[in-house]
Amino acid sequence: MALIDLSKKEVHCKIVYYGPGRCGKTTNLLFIYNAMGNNSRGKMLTIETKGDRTLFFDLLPLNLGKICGFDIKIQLYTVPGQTMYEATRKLVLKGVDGLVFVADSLKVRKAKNVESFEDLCRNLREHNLKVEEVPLVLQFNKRDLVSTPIPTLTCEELQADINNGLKLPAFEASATKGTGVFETLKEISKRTIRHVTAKHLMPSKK
Amino acid sequence: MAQTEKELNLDSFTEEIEDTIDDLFTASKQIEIDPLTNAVKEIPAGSEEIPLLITEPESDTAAEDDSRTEDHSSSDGTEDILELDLELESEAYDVRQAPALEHSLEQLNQVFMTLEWEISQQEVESAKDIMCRIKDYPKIKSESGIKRILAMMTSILEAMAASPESLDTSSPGVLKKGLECLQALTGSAPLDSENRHTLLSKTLDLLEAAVPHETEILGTSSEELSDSIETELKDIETSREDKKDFQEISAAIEPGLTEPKSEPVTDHQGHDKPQEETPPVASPQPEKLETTRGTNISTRLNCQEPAGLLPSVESHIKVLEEIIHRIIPVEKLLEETRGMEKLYQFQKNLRICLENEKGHLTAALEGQDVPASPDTAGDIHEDTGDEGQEKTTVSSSQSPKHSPVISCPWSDLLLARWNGKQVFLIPQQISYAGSPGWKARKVLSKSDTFPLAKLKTFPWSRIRPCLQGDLACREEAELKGIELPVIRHPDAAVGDSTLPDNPVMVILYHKDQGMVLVMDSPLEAVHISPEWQWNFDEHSQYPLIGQIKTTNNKITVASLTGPELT
Repeated sequence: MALIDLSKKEVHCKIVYYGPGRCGKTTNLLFIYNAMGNNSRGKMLTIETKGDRTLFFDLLPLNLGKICGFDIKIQLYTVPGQTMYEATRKLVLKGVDGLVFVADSLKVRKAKNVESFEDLCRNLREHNLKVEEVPLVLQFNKRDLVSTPIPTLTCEELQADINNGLKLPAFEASATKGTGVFETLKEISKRTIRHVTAKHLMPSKK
Repeated sequence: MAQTEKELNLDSFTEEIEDTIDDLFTASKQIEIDPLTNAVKEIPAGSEEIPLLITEPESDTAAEDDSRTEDHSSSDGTEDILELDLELESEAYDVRQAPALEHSLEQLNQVFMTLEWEISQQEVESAKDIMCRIKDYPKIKSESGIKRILAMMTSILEAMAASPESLDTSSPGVLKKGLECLQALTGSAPLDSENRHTLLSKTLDLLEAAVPHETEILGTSSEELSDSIETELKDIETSREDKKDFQEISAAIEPGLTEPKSEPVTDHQGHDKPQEETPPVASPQPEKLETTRGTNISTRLNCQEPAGLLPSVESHIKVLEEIIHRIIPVEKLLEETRGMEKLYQFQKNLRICLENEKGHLTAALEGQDVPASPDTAGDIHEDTGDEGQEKTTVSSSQSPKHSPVISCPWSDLLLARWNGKQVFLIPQQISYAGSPGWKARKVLSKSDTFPLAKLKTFPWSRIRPCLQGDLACREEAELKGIELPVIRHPDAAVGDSTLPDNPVMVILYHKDQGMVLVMDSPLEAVHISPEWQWNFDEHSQYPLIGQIKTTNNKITVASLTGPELT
């Protein structure tokens, strides 16, 4: 849940990048951290694994500065994608305000995408949240591989697998190159802010 | 809330936020991330995009890498990649044709690559099947070194199947190293015996470290192993004998010290060899090993020094260093993450414990006494000192907590550096010890008093959870009003309130008395040796109340009041 301190005029939102192992969640954050200007981003907290799997989680705080007197801060988290780290994923999801589901475009990861999305829905339910209630944006990562002989899924297949009936916005991306990374971030940030302000600052409109 | 609504037009508020998001959330420079190492490389503006096939192996990394190196030499490289990829996708390997050993090893390589990606039962089973087949090849059957590698790899796979979370993340990588060794040993180009031994020894070390302690080597009976390895790997065994001896001594002396390594070594090298067969480790009185649990390892090194023991200790120090190095980022992350204070404390204690052990070993290696070292202060003189003292010191080392305090009124103290000098603090007086936040630093560098409210990281956070001791029993409202004097070191220049590079703020509080000290280093727990002498010095400048004379040093004690307080 977003932290809103009216006396201090601060709004903190938590956005979690979710997805199967090796889909590029940490790469998304790394790209944002390295490509973004120093003024609006904080220090990225990550356990350095030199390209190996995320062991715990990554955190990147972003600061939008003062808007209408409010200090707006967004914290980006990733979860460890490997199946065995379910407890950590559940923990990171606590108090989430927005979600980016990073799907892997590799054909061999088709089942893992679905499994991870189901895992997300299940974990959200355990926090008394429904996937329809939380701002959620899909990112189809590794689209750069489409032009290579490596078998990949089409966007339609990915939509059918994950976005079936949910009508979530989806972005094609290549996190290593940065394609679609900021587009995804902008969309989820806007949606999250809208959701948070509507929920917490405008109770009458609910 | 109502007031905010009046002041704030929410539509324009969200619009403004969205505009800011559009402005700020953009790439200020062009970069590319290496998917293998996460290394970031900047791309000069306007540079051409490099073809994706060559530079972006975000997918099956190792597979692509391998295939690409082949591709450059072949004209129809793309087809090769496609073929390999499809092969990776296929779940069952064609076992109808009896494949050659090389082919089986290649199949195993592909399964290991998949395991490196993600551990799944199916792949683990595939790997085990292939390894069973490999074991049957005459070339493998005849070589016990190779058999041993296979046995260890099977153990890792078993553990992987049973509880993947208990394994190190590098385990699939270790399996690949094992496989590379197998490929080298069974390859068409024969290795000379020296290279062969080096490779075997190196790989066995790697595998040993990765094999979980509880698992036994599967697929090879211990008798079989002990027979064959003793003959064929005699050289390697000899070089390790000292290590094993050392670990056995260590296990007898200090069970916690060698725990991570001792079991695998015993498992894989002992091979059911009866305990009695082990050489008596050059100990003049082996029966005493049982009774001297907790004896410092340094004393053992000083009195025994069997050949090859020093390299073993050095290797232990290296391992400890590596573990400490791995713990530090986790600890740092936990320290900076709200809600993880307990885990942080746990990691911190773990690191300190390992650092202490490393200190003991280093000191032992250099043939030094271990001044002010925890747990073992009483033991330092045990073996190096005269024999007349042995009985009393052995008993004190067995139960350091209950050792009679001869001259010091404390059994444990905390050691830190203050104004560049070592100083002891009394643990019972510590209410807070930690790196001060920016607010606290500001106050500490400017003011002579410190309001406890400045301990809060965020305006909404609470003070009480940060505290321990007497202060932790106070109400939050009461804590907010408490302001304590910041005491500078008596030797510090008047008016000099410059903070050290990595200040550690310590709050001492007991019976309504308190003060804040800024240390140069974190606090380290130290058990007081009975030999150390305490001198109360009424002329010392507050808060220094006296000195403790250690084996080769004098360290002052800083306290709220005299020793009667504790």
